[in-house]
Amino acid sequence: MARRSRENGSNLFRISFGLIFVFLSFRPVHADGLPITGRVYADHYGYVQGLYSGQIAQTSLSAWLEYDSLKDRSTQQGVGVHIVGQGDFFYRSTEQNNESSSRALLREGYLSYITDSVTLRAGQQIIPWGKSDGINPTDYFTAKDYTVFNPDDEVKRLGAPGVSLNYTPDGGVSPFNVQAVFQAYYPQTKLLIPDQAIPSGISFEKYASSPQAFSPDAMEFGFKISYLKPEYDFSFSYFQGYTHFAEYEFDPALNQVAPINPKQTAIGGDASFTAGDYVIRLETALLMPENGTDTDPRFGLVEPWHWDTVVGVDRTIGDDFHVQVQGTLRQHLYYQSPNFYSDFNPTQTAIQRAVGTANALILNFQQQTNFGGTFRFGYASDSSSWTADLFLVGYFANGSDYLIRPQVSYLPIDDVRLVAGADLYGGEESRPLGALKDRSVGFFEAKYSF
Amino acid sequence: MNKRMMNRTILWAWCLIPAYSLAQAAVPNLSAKDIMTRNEDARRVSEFETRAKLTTGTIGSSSEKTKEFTLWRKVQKDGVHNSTLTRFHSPAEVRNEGILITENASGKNDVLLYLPNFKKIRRVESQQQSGSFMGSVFSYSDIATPHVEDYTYRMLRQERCPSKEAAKMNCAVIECIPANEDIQERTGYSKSVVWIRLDNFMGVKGEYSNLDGKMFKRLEASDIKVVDAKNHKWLAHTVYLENLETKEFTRLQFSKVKVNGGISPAVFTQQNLQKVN
Repeated sequence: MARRSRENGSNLFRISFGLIFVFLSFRPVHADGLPITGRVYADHYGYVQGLYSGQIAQTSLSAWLEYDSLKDRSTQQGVGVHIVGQGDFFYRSTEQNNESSSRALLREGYLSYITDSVTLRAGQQIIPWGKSDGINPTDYFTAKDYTVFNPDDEVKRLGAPGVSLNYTPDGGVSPFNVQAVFQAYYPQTKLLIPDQAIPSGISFEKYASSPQAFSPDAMEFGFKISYLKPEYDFSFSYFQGYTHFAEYEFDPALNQVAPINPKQTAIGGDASFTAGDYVIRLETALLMPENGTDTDPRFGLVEPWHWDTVVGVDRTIGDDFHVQVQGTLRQHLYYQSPNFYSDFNPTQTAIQRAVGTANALILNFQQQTNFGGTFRFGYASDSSSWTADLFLVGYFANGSDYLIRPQVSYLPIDDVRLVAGADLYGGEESRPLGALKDRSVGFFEAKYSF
Repeated sequence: MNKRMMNRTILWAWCLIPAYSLAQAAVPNLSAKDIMTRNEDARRVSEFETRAKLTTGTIGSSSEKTKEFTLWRKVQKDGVHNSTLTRFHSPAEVRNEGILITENASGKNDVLLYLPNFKKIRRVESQQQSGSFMGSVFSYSDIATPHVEDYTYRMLRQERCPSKEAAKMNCAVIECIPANEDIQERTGYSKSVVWIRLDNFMGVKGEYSNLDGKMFKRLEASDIKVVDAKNHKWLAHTVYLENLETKEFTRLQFSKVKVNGGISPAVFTQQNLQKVN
């Protein structure tokens, strides 16, 4: 069976790369103003350690097509249309029982109206907020699909339909800027949930169904006021919506565990400035999920209010190297271990505690204070043909867990990039990153942009 | 020839003397700084927009890589420093990447880089500004413009210009030393020697020394044309820069130059930098 699955994956892998090279041979001559652009990429991910070692995590072929009616959004004004469509063919040996699957999705599709002062967009859009790298406490509006493997985390980002309004006073030259966002529903982050996080003996629904657009139980709103100068900038933000990471809830009547996305209010801010050879970035947010205080009957089982802060500094070394260090701090304003939860029914208490423990593992609220950091060391050759990047994420409060992500890329010709690397999880298996140890992967990607 | 006719001929001759001769005649009275002031004045266009082609290769190798972008530049309110926005069109990997360079009086320029894949702006710190501009031999600082007050000057000599199109012109050869360490760090140059045409005060050649004092880059500017006749403004439409150590070169060519077309100051803002997607 394993051999057959590997053969299926290898065939798709070969077909994927074959298609890229066929496409390359017929690639359009890039004329000035070609209205449709995009990318085609093939990925192969294999598990490299633990339970699934040697199995194919994902072999896939994907294409993005992008259309923009405005040739030059830097100076053109008026009404425009922007569309980004995505199609994928996947083969996965472990997640989907050796089956192939496909999907098509509208990544973005919006109408825009642009003047010097105003940018108004209506439709499907991705609105990532936050200045720090990789970990963004103020990224209230987007979600990520972590079940899709890709070297570029932004490919995993999901948006939602909505309206965003950006206003800059004084004909667009004031340093003040206000952005208001409305989303018709909350996008949902999909996590690669470790099997050991799932309690046994009960019905378990891994992923939530999609919320209904414009339903009062799904809409989101937020705004950001920024002060943007060439030498520094800072912003304050407010959000009223839902957590995009689902947490799990046990229903004793149905004996079922199902995911829910609680309501959430958040306030936050970010800033960045240059200090000589260093760029300093700060991002912080107080996230207040509903039921996240000590007065809630499920206190300890669901994600509590927490304050996330990331402070980072980066600088260049020589002509080709770049170093970045970020410190992260999560402080839970209310905290209780799931093991302190008790119910009148001992069985239900045990199940609730197990579900709470799973929530704490998935959503990273295993202790009141959790600190950690990221480290990035990058290299780019003079012509940028070769790049290398080493990214580490680790948490260190009461034990440790980490992710190491080395990556090398090469540009043999313009528009074609080859990437090889790995996502290696480690540390204590009872912790969020350590629990993904068996999901450590090595990968290769070929990407053609046109 | 009678006296009246002779006077008329002399008058016509005076009228026909080219402007560059006047300039060359006046040069002995100009200091190195005066010439560089006129150089800055000659190339300071109050605003312009141009398509640009950046071709990078290695001497002796046939393979070249080309990047195309649009550049917008506008003089700030102080009348000296510029704001520059570049937006890349090709290759597809860098499409819509934008770089906003805001020059300021301290010599520490602010450089913001927009990455459309991330939909985010990144700051480029001072030392990185002496690094490669989009994989070319040019640095971010080379793309910004030098200003008179950023350097101290010494006249080395005058000689025929080392340029095909200005071979009959005289050039002043001037040594430029950064006025402070910030400028030295931002540019990555400890010294430069420039050849300035004495007819229109445009630079035609430059030699640049690294922080160890070793000459490592050579620049040639050509295709120098008037872009704003009314205000006597010029632009080198082709700039060739060679790294003598790595043998890499980059040719920067401007086309479709539009001058004083009314570029809004709102173009040179962070808000505009991230408008593309």
